[in-house]
Amino acid sequence: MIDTSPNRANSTPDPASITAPKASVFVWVFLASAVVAGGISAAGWSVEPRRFAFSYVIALTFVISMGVGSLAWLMILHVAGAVWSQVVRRLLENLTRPLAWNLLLFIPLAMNLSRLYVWADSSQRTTDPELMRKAIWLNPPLFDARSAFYLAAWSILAGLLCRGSTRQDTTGNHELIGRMRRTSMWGLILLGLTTSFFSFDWIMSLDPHWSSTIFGVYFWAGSLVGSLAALILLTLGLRASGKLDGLVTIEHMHELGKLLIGFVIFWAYIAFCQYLLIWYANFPEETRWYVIRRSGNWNELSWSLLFGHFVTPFFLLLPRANKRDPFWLGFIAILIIVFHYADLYWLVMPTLNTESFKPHWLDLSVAASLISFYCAIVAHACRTRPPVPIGDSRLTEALAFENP
Amino acid sequence: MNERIKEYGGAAPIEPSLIEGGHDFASLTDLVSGLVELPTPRWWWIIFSICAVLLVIGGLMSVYVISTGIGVWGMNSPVGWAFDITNFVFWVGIGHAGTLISAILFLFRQKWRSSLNRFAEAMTLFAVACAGLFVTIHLGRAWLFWYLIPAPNSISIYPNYRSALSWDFAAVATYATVSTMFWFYGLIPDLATLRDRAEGGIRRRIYGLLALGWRGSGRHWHNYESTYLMLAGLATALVVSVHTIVSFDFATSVIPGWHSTIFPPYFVTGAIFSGLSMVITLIVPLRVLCGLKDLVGPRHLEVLCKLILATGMLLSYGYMIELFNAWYGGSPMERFVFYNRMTGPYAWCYWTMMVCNVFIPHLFWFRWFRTTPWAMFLVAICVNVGMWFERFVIVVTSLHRDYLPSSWGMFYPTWVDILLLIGGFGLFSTLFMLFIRLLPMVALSEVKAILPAANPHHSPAPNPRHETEEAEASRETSAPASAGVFDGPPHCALARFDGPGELLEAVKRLVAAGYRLLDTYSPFPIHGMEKALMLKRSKVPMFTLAGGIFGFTFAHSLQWYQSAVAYRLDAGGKPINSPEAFVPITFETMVLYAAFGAVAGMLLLNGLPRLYHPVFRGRSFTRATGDGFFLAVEARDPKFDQSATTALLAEAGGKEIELLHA
Repeated sequence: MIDTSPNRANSTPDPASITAPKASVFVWVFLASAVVAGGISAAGWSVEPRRFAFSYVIALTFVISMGVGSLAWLMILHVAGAVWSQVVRRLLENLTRPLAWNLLLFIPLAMNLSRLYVWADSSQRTTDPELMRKAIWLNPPLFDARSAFYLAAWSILAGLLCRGSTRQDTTGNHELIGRMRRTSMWGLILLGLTTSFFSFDWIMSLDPHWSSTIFGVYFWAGSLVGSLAALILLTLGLRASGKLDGLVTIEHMHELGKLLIGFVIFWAYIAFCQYLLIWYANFPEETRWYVIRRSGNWNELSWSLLFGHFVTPFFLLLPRANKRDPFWLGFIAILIIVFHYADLYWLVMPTLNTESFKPHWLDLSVAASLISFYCAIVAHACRTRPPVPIGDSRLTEALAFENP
Repeated sequence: MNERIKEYGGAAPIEPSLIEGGHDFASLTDLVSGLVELPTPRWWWIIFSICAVLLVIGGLMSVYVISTGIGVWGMNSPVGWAFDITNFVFWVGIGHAGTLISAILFLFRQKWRSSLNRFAEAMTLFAVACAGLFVTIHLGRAWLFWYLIPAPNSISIYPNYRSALSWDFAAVATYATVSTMFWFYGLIPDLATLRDRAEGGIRRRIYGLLALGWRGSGRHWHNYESTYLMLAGLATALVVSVHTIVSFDFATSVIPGWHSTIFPPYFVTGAIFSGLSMVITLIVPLRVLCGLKDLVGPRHLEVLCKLILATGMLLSYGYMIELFNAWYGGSPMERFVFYNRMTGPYAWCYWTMMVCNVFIPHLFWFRWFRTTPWAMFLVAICVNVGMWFERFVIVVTSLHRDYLPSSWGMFYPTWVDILLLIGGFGLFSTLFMLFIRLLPMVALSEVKAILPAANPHHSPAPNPRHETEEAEASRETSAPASAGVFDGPPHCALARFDGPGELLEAVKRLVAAGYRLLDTYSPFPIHGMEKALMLKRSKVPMFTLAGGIFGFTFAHSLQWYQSAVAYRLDAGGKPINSPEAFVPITFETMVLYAAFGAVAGMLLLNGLPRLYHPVFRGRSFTRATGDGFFLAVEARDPKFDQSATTALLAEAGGKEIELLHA
């Protein structure tokens, strides 16, 4: 707990920081679950290495998308300077903390490249003319270097913003607002480029003969909506435990609900544009990607994405009352997170199971392990600092926010 | 912790007001209405004559092209689309910034938009008119444009709903309709202001009819605001869908350089980018000529510049991803198209586009460019030019070198092409000049609502302008209350209050005293009034939803019936029943009917149009749309008692209290 009140003259002991969650039990539960599931997955790695690699890339992309999505929101809030959102800024910062561990988590993936990517297989790379042409971009060393660059860049960006915010807690320095805003400006440019190329490298290149220019935007859309749902869930959880009493009100939740429906629509818009244009132009090399996803029982998963990732949350979020009801908001957030995972699964797994959708216990254990690890880091981060940026001069106004 | 928060919060810098020059409600009304009411300035005639000359050129060229045929344009095989579609996409794009400012920024509660939205919306309408002109002429036989309407035409076939071109018709037609409606909707309170300021005669009648009998009732404002929010949401969805569908015209094809999945979001950003620079191009001179510097200050311009920078970078992202994918993707033709754009005979167009759209906007990183009007004007001109060239590059360079070198060719514009391009600007600017003379170019009621004095909790500074008047008024209060002409049963007691805060307090007081049939009249919606009047949530969203459901069902079944049942025509190998291809038109129609529902909801719930109402007889009631704040207690209220009610109104601070008869 970074409690700085003793350093400040005239400052009364800070009630909220004293009631800082003593229950580190969540951190330990999550860590234990990560270790257990991780152990099972490691066993799976030795039994079915190929399946493990695919499950791993889905789960890791999932937690990364949550982290980069939160980072994007955080920077958008800094750049836009929106007042009401200051109350959730600290929670967004906490959601970006796991980004610092991604370089470590990347190692198992780097060890499995040739099991995942056709282009990483040297026999293919030297025979397929298209792969030979692309080899200067799609080759293992450069892939590793690029991935390391993306992961390091996100970790540094998240670190810079968190550090500034922590310093603001103790000093209340106005200049920090401007400094974080400037970091966010170049940070957003960097993040936009790196996340696009990340999605090209990690997901799109699973089928190196297929490409779609909107793919990066599709990844943004999924990450933004998924991380927003995660933020809502985290906020609701902390509210339920009383940590945010008088800080994050139902008015703020309503606002988050409006953003959520906006980005649910945005995801559907991008997904539909990609589908329609490829369906309509009907190039064999492009439609093949969708033909796989619309044959066998992959088709059912495709339909479930339409309903689970768009139609259901859209209609549930439409009434004002639902956006102001923690139960419905939480339910929708969970639904969206589940379908965000399903979306990534749908992007990745048909490369392995081209015939049909075959769930595997490794999918579950790897996801459980990485997600638990992610939650443990976030839970730990929530314990170390006050739940709102108490040094920000806009906070008073943000707390009093009401929907018109 | 709360103490610490307060301690830091107290030191927060106070945000400067968006409206400069110390304006109050009356002076703002005078300023904006004056643009319409005062004699036409000489500069207006000079600019208008130039624009009118350009319009005449455009008109003559349109007649020439339609009567002779589009062979007088420079297009030929393989370049079958050139200036016509370039201009169409350019103008549709310009329109998008108007909707961004009026709708999207409204949803994000950006108060600074209030000074700009009216004229930006007008810009949208006129830009869409230009786009409509070009796309209609390009049909060749323009008089047959009605084939696009879903009615069986003279050869008994229906439109092909699986074609992006009929999607385009639905999109542009819906966009024009909804934008006009949104614009007119926002104008209603300001038209009422002009009506009430008019000395009489034809002017008062025309504005009066257009204002639909708007009287600024608190109950009306309640539904009005709800509809405005609905329309803003719908317009946001619409603006994205329109340029998306315009991009489908290209991206659904199999032409290298056109078929790219990023086209929809990339076209939308490009459209907003170009439209914002058109806003700057127009507002920088106009704020000087029309004396609107107080309303459109440096802060407004700076935000516009930042938005141009942001959308410009998103557009650059689109360019970059396209280039990367041209290399990364498998098609050698795609690679060639991009190589040809950069180095072929149209390379100068490509590099003009790159310099104007990608590099020049970065000047807005420098504060000097964001705060110096003439500098930002120059940057905006560059962006306008660059965005026109972007469309030219996309349309022409993708076509002029076909798959086979034997079918390569060039496009050279003819004099008709060039004069028609100029004529388009003539149409746009003429309409715009007429607009700024005939209608308030700033949304008065919205600008008033962001003045600090509009906040009911703001303590008003004494207003010297009205002091004598008010002294007189308070003397009148002691006079008998029933001063009105008696020609019917009493309708209500009307009192005027000094400001929104006083009015809100008075309403609270009367409600506490048991009055229920109250209504307030104010030039803008007062925050908290719906609660004080104990109004339920507006039912407008229900009307909107009903409209949307109807539009969705209607459009989808129409397309299904005509394509899959009535006239089963194989088009491009698409399935006879293609729900995918029906989505764009279904969406557009849904938005169209939802918007109709929202507006109909406001009119029905408010009982408008209603050109006569007893309160209009109030002696100074014309101020209700300017700077007056009125409270009416209906005679039907069970608690109503002539002397007790007027006494209570006077006690609450009411002035010029009078009894009005029906």
